[in-house]
Amino acid sequence: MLDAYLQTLLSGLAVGGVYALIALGFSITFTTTKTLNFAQGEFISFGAFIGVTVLLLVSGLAGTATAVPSEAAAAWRYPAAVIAAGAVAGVMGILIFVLAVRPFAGKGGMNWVMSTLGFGVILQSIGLAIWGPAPVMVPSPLGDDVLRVAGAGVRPQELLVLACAILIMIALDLVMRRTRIGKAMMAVAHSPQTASLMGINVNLVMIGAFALSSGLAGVAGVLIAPIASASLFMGMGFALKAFSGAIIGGLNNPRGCIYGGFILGVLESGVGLWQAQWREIVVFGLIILVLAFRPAGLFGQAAVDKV
Amino acid sequence: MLKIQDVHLAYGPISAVRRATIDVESGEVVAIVGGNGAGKSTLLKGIAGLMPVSSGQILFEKEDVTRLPPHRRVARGIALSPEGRQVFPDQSVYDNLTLGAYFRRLSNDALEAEVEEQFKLFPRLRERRDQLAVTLSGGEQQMLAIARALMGKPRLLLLDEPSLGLAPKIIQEIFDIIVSLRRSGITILLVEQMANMALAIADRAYVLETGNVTLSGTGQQLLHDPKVRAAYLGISHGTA
Repeated sequence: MLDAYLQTLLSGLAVGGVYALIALGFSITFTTTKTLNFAQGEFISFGAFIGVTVLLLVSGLAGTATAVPSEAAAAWRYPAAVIAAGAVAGVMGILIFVLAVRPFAGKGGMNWVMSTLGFGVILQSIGLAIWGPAPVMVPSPLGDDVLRVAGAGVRPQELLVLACAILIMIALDLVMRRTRIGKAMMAVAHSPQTASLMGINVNLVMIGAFALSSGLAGVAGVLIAPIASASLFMGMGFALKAFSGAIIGGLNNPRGCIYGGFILGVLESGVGLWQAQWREIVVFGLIILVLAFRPAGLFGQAAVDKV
Repeated sequence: MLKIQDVHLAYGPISAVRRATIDVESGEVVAIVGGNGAGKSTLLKGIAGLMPVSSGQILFEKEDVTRLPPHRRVARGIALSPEGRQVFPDQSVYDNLTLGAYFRRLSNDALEAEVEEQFKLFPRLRERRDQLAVTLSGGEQQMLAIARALMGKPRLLLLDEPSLGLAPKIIQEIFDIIVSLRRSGITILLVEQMANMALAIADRAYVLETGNVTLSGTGQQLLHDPKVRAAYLGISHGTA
């Protein structure tokens, strides 16, 4: 029974790591621009399919309509696919900011909600035209043999996802806290006006925030594809869970969003162990309960200002 | 150095500054005094680029900066220490200062040296170097805001209500620093509700009333002007 718990915990952490990456992305655009990219789900799906396309291109192998051969993900090909998906999604993030967010950001109103949702619908239609509606099985670069960790069976991809997510998040946390560009981002997050008085090009920082946030979603898509299969409908669910994680953690606190993502992943997997069909009900019930008692999220703080 | 010509600034349909014409010569301390809501801060925001100018022109060192975004005006040499300090509360004193020099792309050593210069001017900040700005007192935050603006090595420093909400002793300290800044050759445009203090240190001054420049002269002239004394210095001569 203990094995089952450990197994549940590890796969919860793996999925949670993906939620955390996407949740961090939500937090990055929210803190810097006070807007969210509601097309994030489509960016995840696109990330997965760009990964699939790159795997096939660089390996020169032909995939079937529903599977990518396992050799295609071997060696450096999978990392290449991850980087490519991150880069393409990042460029798409710049596009969505310029076309669908900047015209409405900072003007009050919720037009950016509609415009980013609409951008997502357009992306999904384009994706369906290119890759079709069928889910595609994506091989893990580490193979599919189940590993034994202290008696618990774990898929190697789950460990890879967890490791990548943690590494990326530690790197970003360091960049945010230690580098000049990170501090400039924090300044913009606090007040775009005051940041501009520092000679910071606020518009450029906001573009960067969207590129980074979208890039994270793209990377998350390739990371999760070997576990969940690539599908143009996969992203929405992940984005919704990640968003919930971000809300639980506190949207204005990047670290909180990361914790929120992990908490949601583990919770979901834990409830799934007990009663799979109750999973969503319990998870979202708990989210509502948390918010009722802590409206700013578990790790969100009310702003403190000295007058 | 700075020529503001017929500048009009508005919040939507409500105009805050009407056809203001103000000159600041190199090396001067120029004060803008006036009551609450007279448009003083709005005017500084317009000069810094935080508010779009609806008509008129702003020339800085003979170049038209009217349409430049704020970050490019900072790079030209115009720094604003904004109303209410606006320090970055979640960053340390040191980081706040380095952000002031963000656009200059200095090496770490050069940054360190320039922060050290500010610490000489504001010794209290040195003691707080690694504290988050939110933990500073109001007076310390004001010093940080001015020091941060100076980190951009501006030729024109805009100071918006540096006395706001501070104790008299601290206000005196801040004004002493402004006087010593003037000696170092930096040009200062100072907006203040504390008209007596501002006029006492200003070479020249303008009075702004409900968006209009109504009076101008040397600091001493305005300090002794009966109308100014009655309206802004709380000294009545029977004519209000």
